[in-house]
Amino acid sequence: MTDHSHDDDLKHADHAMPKPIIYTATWIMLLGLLFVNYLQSQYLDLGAFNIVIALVICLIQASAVVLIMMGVNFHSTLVKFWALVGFVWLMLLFTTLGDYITRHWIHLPQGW
Amino acid sequence: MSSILLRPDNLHGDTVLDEPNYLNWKSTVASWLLTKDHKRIAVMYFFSISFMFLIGGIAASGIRLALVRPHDTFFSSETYDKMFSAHGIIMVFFFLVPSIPATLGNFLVPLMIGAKDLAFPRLNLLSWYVYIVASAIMLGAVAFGGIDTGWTFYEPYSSIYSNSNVVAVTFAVFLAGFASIMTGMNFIVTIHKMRAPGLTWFRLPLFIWGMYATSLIMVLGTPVVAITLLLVTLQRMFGLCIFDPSCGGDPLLFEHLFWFYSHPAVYIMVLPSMAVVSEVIACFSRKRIFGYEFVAFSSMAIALLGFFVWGHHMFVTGESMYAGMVFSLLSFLIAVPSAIKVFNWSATLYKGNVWLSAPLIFAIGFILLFTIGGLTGLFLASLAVDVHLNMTYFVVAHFHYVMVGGAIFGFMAGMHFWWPKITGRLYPEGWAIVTAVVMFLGFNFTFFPQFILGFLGMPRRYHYYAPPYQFWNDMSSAGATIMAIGFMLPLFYWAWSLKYGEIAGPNPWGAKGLEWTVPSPPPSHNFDEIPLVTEEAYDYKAIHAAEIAGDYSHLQFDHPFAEAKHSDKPTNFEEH
Amino acid sequence: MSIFELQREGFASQRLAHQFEEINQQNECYIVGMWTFLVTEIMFFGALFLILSLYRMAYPASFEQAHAVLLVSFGLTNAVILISGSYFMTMCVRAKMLGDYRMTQLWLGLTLLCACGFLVVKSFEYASEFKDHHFPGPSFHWETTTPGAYTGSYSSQFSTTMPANAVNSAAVSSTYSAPVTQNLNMHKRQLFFSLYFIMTGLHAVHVIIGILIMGTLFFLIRYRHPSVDDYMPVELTGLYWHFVDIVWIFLFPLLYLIGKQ
Repeated sequence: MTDHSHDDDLKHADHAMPKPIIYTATWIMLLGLLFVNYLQSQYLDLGAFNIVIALVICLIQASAVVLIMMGVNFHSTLVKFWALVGFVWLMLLFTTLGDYITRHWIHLPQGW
Repeated sequence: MSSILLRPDNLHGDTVLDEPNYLNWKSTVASWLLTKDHKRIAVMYFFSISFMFLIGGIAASGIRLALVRPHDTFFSSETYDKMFSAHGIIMVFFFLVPSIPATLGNFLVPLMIGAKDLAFPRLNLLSWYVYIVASAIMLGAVAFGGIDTGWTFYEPYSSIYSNSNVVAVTFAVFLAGFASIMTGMNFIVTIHKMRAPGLTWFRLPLFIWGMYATSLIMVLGTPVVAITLLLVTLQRMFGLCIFDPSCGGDPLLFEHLFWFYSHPAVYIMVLPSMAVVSEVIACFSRKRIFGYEFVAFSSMAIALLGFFVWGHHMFVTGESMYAGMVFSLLSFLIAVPSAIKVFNWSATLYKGNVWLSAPLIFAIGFILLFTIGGLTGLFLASLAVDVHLNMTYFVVAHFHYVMVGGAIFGFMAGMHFWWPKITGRLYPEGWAIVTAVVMFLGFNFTFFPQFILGFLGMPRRYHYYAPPYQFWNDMSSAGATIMAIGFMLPLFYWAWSLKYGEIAGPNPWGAKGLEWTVPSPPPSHNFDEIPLVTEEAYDYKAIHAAEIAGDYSHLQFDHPFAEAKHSDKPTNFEEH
Repeated sequence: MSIFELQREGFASQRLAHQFEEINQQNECYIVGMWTFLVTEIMFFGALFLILSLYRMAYPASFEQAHAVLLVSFGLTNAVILISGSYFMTMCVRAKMLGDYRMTQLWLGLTLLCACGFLVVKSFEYASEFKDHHFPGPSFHWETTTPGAYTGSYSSQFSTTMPANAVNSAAVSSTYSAPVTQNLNMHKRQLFFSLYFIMTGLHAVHVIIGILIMGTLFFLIRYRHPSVDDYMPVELTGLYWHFVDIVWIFLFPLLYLIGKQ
C-alpha cells in the first residue's frame, strides 16, 4: 500500500481546461441574452409567447453556464449524466400540473 | 478426518478479537465522536436509530393501550393524537428511512465493493451529527407538548390552526432529510467510482444495487419534502401563505409535494430490506440468486416507478379523476418489479441446499409479509375500492405490513446475518430463531385484525370507536404485546453475545462476497490490499456441491446445523 | 485548433485522500458528488418554481399585476452582477488550477464583491417593498398607480383550481374592510408576494452561504493554507456559485419580466 502522507507524493490529474477566451465569450453572450430578454419584455409584446421567449432564453443561458462555466462539457459521461438527472427529474415533478389541468375536464356539481 | 474440525483452533480463544480492528484500535470517546471510519459511524447510527425506535415503540404501545377499550380513559384525545403523530414521525423519518442504509449500508457498502472507505468520510460523519441534532429537536418537541398533525403534516392541520409544535417538528424532519441526502450522495458516488478492479456492475452484490436504488430516491426525492416542510414552517413563522386557501392557496398542492417524496420514501424503507433479503437467501440456499439481472433491474425499476405513483394517496382528496386513473394504473405497474423479486427469491430457494438459520427465517418472514402488504396495496390502488378503504385501518394494516413486516424484518435479517461481521461474535442461534417466530406471530396478530377492522369501516386516527370493533382491536393490542416481546429479545441476546458469544471468524456462514474475506470485526482500513474481483456475485456452485456431498469444511466452525448434517452421512466422511 | 490549452504538466499538484486509489478517481468523485448535491438543490428550488407556475396558471390576472410592481431595475442589476460573478468565478478556478495564487485571490475577491453587491441591491429592494407593505401578512397593503387596475381582473380561472366555496368563506372571514372582490385579489397578490419573498429569500440565503464559503477560501488562499493546495475546494465552490447564478437566471425573468407589458 502506498503511503500518501509524504509531500513528494503529490499527484497530477489528467484534466482539460478551455482557454479563457471561451469563458469571456460565454460571459458576453449571457449578458447579451439577458438584455434581449429584458428589452423584449419591455418593448415587444408577443402575448402568450412572452413567457415562451423568456423561458427559451433562460434555458439557453442556463445551458451555457452548465456546459461551459461549470465545465460539464469537458467532464466525463458520469458528470454529464448527473447534470442531466436533475433537470429530467424536475420535469417529472412538473407533471403535477397535469392534475390541475385535467381537474376541470369533467363538470362536477356545484360545491365541488 | 472430520471436516468440521478443520477450523483453526485459535478461533475459540479471545486472541483473534485482540488483533487490531475498527472497534478496538482506539477506545476513547473522542475517537468515536470524531471518527471518519464508515464502520464506526454505522455502529453509532445503529445505537441512535435503535433509541428512536424505542421511543416510537413506546408511543405505539400507548396507541394500542388506548384502543383496548372503545371509549378510552387512559389518555385524553389530544394526547392520543400526539401519540400517533409522534409514533408515525419518529418511526418513518427517524427510524425506517435511515435504518438499513445508515447502519448496514454504511458498514457494508465499502466492504462489499472493495473500498477503503466511502468517498466522503467527513460528510458521512456530518450526516450522523445532523441526524442527532434532528432527533434531539424531535424529542424535545415531543417532550414539550408534541404535535397533533399526524406524520403527514397535512394542510390545514399543520397551518396556523394546529396549536402544537409544528415548527420544531417540521424543522427536525427537514434536518433528518439532509442527513439522509448526505448518506445517499455518499453511496451514489462510492458505488459509481470506488468499486474494486474487476467488480463490474453485474458482479455487484444485489445489496449494492438496492443501496444504489435507495440512494437515488434519497437524493431525488428528499429535497422536495424538505422545501415543502420549510414552506409549512415559513407559513407559521412569518404568516406567509402558500397552501392556505384563505389567500387562494391549494392545500392539495401540499399533498402533491409531500407524497412526491413520501411515496418513494416507502421504497427507501423497503428496497434496502429487499437488498438484504437477496443476500441472505442466496447465502443460505447456497445458490446464485435466480435471475440476478432481473432482481437488480427490478430494484431500479421500483426506484424509478416509485416516483410516478404518488397520486394514489390522493384519490379521494379532490385530485383530478384523470390523474387518479393514471396514478392507479402506474400503481398497479409497480407491483410487477416487486413480484419479480418475490418469484426470483422463491426460485432461488427451490432446490437450494437450504440452511434454515435465523437470518433466513427473518427473510422468509419478510417475503410472506411483504407479499401480503403488496397485494393489499393493489386493493388500495384501484380507484373504486379505495373510496371505501381510504383512511380506514385497512390502510394502516397495509402500510404496516410493508413498513414493519417488510422493512423491519429485512433489518432484523440483515442485523443477524452481519452481526458476526460487525461484532466478531455469533449471536445465540436458538434465541434468534425464537425471536423470529415470536415477531412473526406477534406481527400478524397485531396487524391482520386491522385489515378486518378497516374493511368493516373503522376509520384510522380516531381515539374512540364503536363497540362492535372491540374484539378485533383487543386482538390487535394483544398481538402488539407479543410483538413488543419479540423486539425486546434481541436486546438481551445481542448484548449477551458481545461478551459471551462464540468467536465468529471471518466467514461463519460460508458466504460469498468481499465483506466475508476480511477478518471479523474488519480492520480500520478494511482491506490490506484492494482485492481483484474475478467472479460473479453469489458463486456458490462449489460450496453447494460440497455440501450436497456432505463436506462442510468451508464453514470453519462447528455450527450445530453442520454437525447435524454431518452426522447424517458419517460413513461417507470416514472414507475420505 | 483546439479550444483546450493545458496539458497535465501545467497543473497544480494535488494530494490523495486515504480512501482513494488515484487522483483522477478522487477528482471525479468530488465533481460527481457536488453534482448530486446540485441535483438536490435543483429539486429544492424546482418545487418552488412548480408552485409559482401553478398559481400563476390559476390566477394569471392577479399575478401579472403583482409582477408589475416589482422593481425591474433592481432585478436586472442583480442579474448582471451575478452573471459577472459567475464569470469571475470561472477565471478564479482556472487560476487556482494553474497554481497562480495571486490571480486566484484577485478573481475570488471580485466574485466576493459581486456577491456582496447582490445582497446590497437586494436589501434596498426588500426595504422598498417592506415600505410599500408588500410583505404578506396583516399589514399587507396594495396601491397601484393606475386606479382600477385591480377591478375587473379577478379571476375567471379561479373555479378551475379551487373550490368556490372555500374562496368565498375565506373572503368573508378576512379582517380587511375593503370590498370582497378587492380582497380576493389582494389575497392572491399575497400569494404572489409570499412566493416572491420565499424564492428570493432562499436564493439570498444561498448567496450568504456562498459568501461565507468564498470568504473562508479567500483567507485560506491568502495565507497559503495547506488545505487549499488542492484546487478542488475552489472548483466545488465554483460549481455551487454557478448554481446560485442559474437560479437567478430563472428567477429574474419569471418574477420580474413576464407580465410586464
